[in-house]
Amino acid sequence: MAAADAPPLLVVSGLRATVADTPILKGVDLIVRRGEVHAIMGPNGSGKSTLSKVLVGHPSYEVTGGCARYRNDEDLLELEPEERAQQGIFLAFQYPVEIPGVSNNDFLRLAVNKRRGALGLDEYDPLEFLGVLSEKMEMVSMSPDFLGRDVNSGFSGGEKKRNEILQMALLEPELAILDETDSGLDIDALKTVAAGVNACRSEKNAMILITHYQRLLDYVKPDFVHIMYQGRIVRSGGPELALELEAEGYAFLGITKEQQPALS
Amino acid sequence: MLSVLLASASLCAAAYRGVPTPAHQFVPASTHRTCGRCVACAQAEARPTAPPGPPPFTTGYEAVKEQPFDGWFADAAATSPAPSSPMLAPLRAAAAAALPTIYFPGRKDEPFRRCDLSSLQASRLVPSVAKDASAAAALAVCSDADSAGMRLVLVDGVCSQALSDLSALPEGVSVSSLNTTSGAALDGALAALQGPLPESGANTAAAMNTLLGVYGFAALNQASLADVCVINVPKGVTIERPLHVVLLSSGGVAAAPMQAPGTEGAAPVLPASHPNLLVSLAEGASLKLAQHYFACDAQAPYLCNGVTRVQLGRSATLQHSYVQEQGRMSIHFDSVLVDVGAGASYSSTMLQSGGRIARTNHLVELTGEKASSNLRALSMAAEAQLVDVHSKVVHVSGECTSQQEQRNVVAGRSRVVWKGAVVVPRGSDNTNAKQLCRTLLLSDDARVDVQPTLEIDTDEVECTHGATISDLDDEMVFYLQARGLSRPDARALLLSGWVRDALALVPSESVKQRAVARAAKVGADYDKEVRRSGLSSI
Ligand SMILES: Nc1ncnc2c1ncn2[C@@H]1O[C@H](COP(=O)(O)OP(=O)(O)OP(=O)(O)O)[C@@H](O)[C@H]1O
Ligand SMILES: [Mg+2]
Repeated sequence: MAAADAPPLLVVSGLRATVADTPILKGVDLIVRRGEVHAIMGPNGSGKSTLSKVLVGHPSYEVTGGCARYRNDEDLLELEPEERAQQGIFLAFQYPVEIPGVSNNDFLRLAVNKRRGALGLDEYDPLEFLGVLSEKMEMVSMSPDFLGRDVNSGFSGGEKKRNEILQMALLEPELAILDETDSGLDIDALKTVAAGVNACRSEKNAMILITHYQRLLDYVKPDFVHIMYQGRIVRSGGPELALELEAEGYAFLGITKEQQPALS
Repeated sequence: MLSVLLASASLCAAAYRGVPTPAHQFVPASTHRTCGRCVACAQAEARPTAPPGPPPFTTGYEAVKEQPFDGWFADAAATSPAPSSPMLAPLRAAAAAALPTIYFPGRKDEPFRRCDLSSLQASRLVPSVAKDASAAAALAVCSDADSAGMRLVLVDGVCSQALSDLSALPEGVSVSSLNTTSGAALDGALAALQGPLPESGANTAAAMNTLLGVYGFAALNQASLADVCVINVPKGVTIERPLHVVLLSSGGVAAAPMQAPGTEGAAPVLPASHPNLLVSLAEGASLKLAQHYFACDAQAPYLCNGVTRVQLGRSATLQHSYVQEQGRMSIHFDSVLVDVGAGASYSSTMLQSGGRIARTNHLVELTGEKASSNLRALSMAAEAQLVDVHSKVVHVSGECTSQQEQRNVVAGRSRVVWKGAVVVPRGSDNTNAKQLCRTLLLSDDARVDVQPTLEIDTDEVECTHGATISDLDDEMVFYLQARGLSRPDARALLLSGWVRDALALVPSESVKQRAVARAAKVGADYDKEVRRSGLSSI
């Protein structure tokens, strides 16, 4: 963990957001410092994906209150989505989008070069990029076949998630938000993805893992665990909170067993 | 039988990436004459954005009244220069004899309901006069180096020996002007040219109802023949390298003023050419043909009025790439008439990109059993273009398969029209036909009319069709933004991906690059328009 007096990477306070005039986020508070890994858990529909989409600027969500400050007190919500990405915020989508007609290789190179441009670095030419790419692909055990294919098109669920982690590894974000990247992975894929996440983890960046399962947290040890419910973070604690959930479920929230997500 | 249709109807809901597809009710075959009645088609047609887009141009020609038997076609042919070969004279005379009975088709004629040719009607055709230097320069721009040795070039419909290079043509294959064609190839060519034109009798007193609108312009083409390009692949011969046929339009007029004294202010003069292509593949032959229309002078107004006939013998295979990149002030009219013999396979990729007004009729007749066709097409229109494609696939014989995918990119103030008919006459059993039309409507001022039409007269068929109209998918745009691409960049990438995908089988890198670059520009420009209007409304 970074020194407690370093300025936080992300400060979310009182964040409220609606989708189609329905309030979903109802006052979210969260402070993330460099070097930290935060896990956000919570029942289905509690607003976890909404929080991640709001942080990266999805246009379907309207922010109706509160704020999100990034790095040196920059107003994150003022930035266009692509500016947020270029400034080092990354979201691994819960449902990665298929883009027919656009080759994965071209897409990855464009994305990386946008980020490099924002960092004041030279763009990679296609050959240089291939070198960087093959190293990172090995890290997530992806076959080079996936480069020639169209972005996520016809990828299996697990392959799409690996492709997200590959993008994270290439873009070297300062703040990475992983929305259920562990869902739908077989045990080997989970280990690979977790290894990728751990390899990207450093004192300079921070991660928010949205997950339903302790399983991922066995491999990627979080510093904090938060529980989101009805658009708020209702409880925060250390890794032990996830273990407690695993054993006892969300009963303390006053919801029935049927409403709870399956805990592995 | 009904169950066959209903079972396949679910396939009609062919959505493009989550795009809302109108619920597609299939009308039973017995009542399903044209799909104007079918829900999807009706909605696709009704969808035109309000208010309806302005006509693609306003030139003051609107005053011209529709006059049956106006003599336009006869006058138009009368100005044609003498033919290059005495063999053409009787062909021209035969076609010319019919011209006085044909009136200029207007918006009341079904095939031209959405294709306003009044500016053409108001023009007086004169022969195109080529300047050779500009043709060579245009050829350098539009063709790839790898077409060397396999390239026939026509300038204003006349084969140019100087610009063509057929040194790599395999033995026995004939690619030349009719003048220099001989033997069986010549006999076949003359027979094809003397055969009746499709839809003969349309736009005459006979008041025939036709679907494509081929007749008048095809007859004008034959009455004005300056040359004929004949391609003949003998039995069993497979040609691996694509054969490029580049059709350049000079748009040039003779230096001397063409107007007689005292006719100033009369109809504007429009240089015209009438290319005619005959492609014939004998039994078991195989060819990749790249037919490519291009302008010598992108700014010149002209008419290019083509006729392309394709005959595929038993088990022959043709991969046909048809690329239309005419000048932005031009009028392109073309009829591509394809006869697919037993067991033969015809697949095409048609790109419509250029022209102020571009109208192409594509007739595919599956005349032999187990013939198949696969039509892919992309119409890309921006600014004030009108791009109109009418296709008709006829399952003349049973046991045939046809597939068709039309893509439209409609931007600016343009208008795109697509009418795609599939006809299965009585007795053509075991037919399998699939058709899909996907449109990206990128601008509020643009307009698209799509009309899939199934005419099914037999029971043993499996036919599906569907049509979608949408903008680019927002979730895709956002995904790319979340990876650092601006909205215009994201839209450009998505649109070029869509276009590249549609042109996968076009054997010319430079064509693909130009199309993809144009798509990228159209995609990015539109976003600027949206933002501008967004700002101005504040
Ligand atoms: N675009 C949208 N349109 C309508 N409702 C939405 C939209 N996005 C989210 N919602 C609603 O907001 C609520 C929160 O959804 P969200 O996806 O944030 O939940 P979540 O915590 O990520 O759930 P899960 O664990 O199932 O992924 C849900 O009730 C959902 O239906
Ligand atoms: Mg979620």
